[in-house]
Amino acid sequence: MTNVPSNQFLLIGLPSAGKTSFLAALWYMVNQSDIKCALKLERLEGDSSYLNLIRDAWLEYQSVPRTRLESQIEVSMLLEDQQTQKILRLTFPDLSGESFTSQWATRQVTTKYDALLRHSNGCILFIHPDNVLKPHRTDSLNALTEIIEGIQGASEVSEPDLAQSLVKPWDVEKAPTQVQLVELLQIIAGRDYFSPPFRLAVVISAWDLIGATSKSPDDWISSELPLLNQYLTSNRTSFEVAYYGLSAQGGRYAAVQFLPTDFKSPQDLVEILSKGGDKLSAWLWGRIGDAAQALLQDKTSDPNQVSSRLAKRFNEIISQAGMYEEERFAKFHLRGETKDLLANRHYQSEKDVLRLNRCLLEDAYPLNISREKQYDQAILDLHQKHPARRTFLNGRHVINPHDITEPLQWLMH
Amino acid sequence: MSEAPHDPMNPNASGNAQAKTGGTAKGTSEAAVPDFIDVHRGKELTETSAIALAYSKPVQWVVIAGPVGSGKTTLLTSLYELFQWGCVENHLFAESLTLPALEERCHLSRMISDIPEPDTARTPYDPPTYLHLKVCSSTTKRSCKDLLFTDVSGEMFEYASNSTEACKELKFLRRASHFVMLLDSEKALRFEKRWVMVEGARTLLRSCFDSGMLRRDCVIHIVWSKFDYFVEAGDKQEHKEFRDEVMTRFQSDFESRTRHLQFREVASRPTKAPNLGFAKGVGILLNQWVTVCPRVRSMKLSAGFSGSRESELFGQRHFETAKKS
Repeated sequence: MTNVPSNQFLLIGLPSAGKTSFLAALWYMVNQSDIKCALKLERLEGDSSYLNLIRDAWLEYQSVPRTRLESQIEVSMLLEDQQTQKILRLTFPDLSGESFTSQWATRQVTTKYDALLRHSNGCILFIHPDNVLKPHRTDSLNALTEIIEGIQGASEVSEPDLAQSLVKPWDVEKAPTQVQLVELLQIIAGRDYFSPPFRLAVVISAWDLIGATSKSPDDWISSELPLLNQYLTSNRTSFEVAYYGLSAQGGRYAAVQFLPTDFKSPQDLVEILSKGGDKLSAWLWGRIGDAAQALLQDKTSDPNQVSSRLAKRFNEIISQAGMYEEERFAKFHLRGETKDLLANRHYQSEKDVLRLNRCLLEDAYPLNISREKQYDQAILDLHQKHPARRTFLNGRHVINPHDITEPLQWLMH
Repeated sequence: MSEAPHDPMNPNASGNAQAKTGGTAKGTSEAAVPDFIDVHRGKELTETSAIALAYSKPVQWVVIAGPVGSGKTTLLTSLYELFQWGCVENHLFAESLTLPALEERCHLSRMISDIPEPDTARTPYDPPTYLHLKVCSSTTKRSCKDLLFTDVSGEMFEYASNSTEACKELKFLRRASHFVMLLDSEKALRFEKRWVMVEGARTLLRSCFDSGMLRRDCVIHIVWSKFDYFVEAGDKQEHKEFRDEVMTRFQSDFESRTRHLQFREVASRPTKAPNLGFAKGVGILLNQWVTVCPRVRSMKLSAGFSGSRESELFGQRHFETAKKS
């Protein structure tokens, strides 16, 4: 007889908040019999293809590329507590997070989300520290500028050309992150079926980026998202909250950016680019700039300097979208990974743009650019870890820091 | 966009249901299931929405009055901006039904606008609207207050100062728990402008009392806005004497007509004297708005209430739920 879940929870958060990384690690953990994990998979409702895709990317220390699937996935995990045999259903209404931005921007919730919310007892809300937009005021910037002027001397700082400055119109989607998150919660609390207390596990993802400061997750929220902190403090009767810091990846993946050592034969590459024998080389050489061209073509230049300059210019170029044009890359053979990235390039984050552009250049100059990305010691250490030991949690309620299901356990109990 | 009448018993009617599907199936009479549900707009509240909001719990209505450019909206946005960085005078941000509206008003003072000097957009001459903030005490649990701030153009107050009849059109005055009269410090420093500015304020206040629109128990705050101008000018003795004389005149005119007459100084955005700190004096005003409650005002549902827009229904529904709990 199929067990009926006693609790239902949703995974929510703005785009690039870390939901997918968590899910990838969770999908791996709850399917392992030899890992100490308080919750195990009882069954899956829906197709596991996407979960397997992101799990594999997680196991391969790769960032999960953005796809249309994130917003279309209709899957729920039913997890069983090994001690109490209680079942919880975890549903992910929109991994892309775009519908949550949309709630703020267009003032609409999907009926699917509303139906899920109606039957939910709580949520896990993800926040990524790198993607927090803050409400910086112009007067603060101007005050800082004046201080710098005082130090450097006013004559060194030029007056802004007011005639040419264009004021940007208000863009609702660029509202501060904490405001959007408060509104997300206000919308939840404003539903007529809302029944407090509603359990909310706030998870700060990529905690390894913050952990060195020894701040607790509660303190981080208080200092970085004070409006959200005040809202949750004031509405304790509506939201019962626990804060977690989570590293689902366990550390940084290999950098996509070029290092000087990525160029197998920098002088040969400079010659190819400067001759401009194909559309891509001509385009790249044009973007390298006159000063860099001169240094790169100087036969007396130190080879290390050439490599460094190439790396610097290439990193600037790959950080911008629009490098790919069909005609420009027509003569090159693109590998499967590059083609996959190209197919989904309209849904990509900045990191994905970097990765795509890097792959395109590797494919265009296979003899000159290495595909073996360089690693530093931290990343090598990460590779040494058993997958189950990669993740770690921080927070007042944490018992086992490697048990990624702890926020779910808290939600249940 | 369809605006179906709200039916609390209809599970699909938690907000207006906007049909955005491909239409009904051919040959069937089944209604299309909408893909989206509208939630509250987050824009400034209309008169009807604001009244709906006040139905089930006390609300402090705060009228911020003053001529064009005196700093009304800037005062309010600076308070909101203070909450963005932490609690204000031991008060925590608890809720706002008008977050997008507040955000839009802050835009020209934020770095993201790329504006070289912070500014505030002028409030258009439209029917009165309201912005909402709920705050809670950080020290006393469960001590929360809902504040509704008028968002009214300076022209409207200028007309009201000329006529008690025009004043009677400003129905929000009757509900005001606090009336904040801004005196523009920038104009106060200009000899040819200062007394016109002061007399304009006195005339408006007189008109509000004479028309019977302001209650005796309404707290009157006479506030020098843009006080950084005085600071930059050195706040000389002559400036202090001027302000003292203004205070004396207001006391003479209005102390007998109100139980509470207060004088304050604020510098919402002290660009002339940044050392004052952002929103100088605004926290003290907030404290007054929250702690001084002239009387508990319970709004009664009138038979004539016919709001059907989501923004109007949201407040009613939201607070009926709060009343039940």
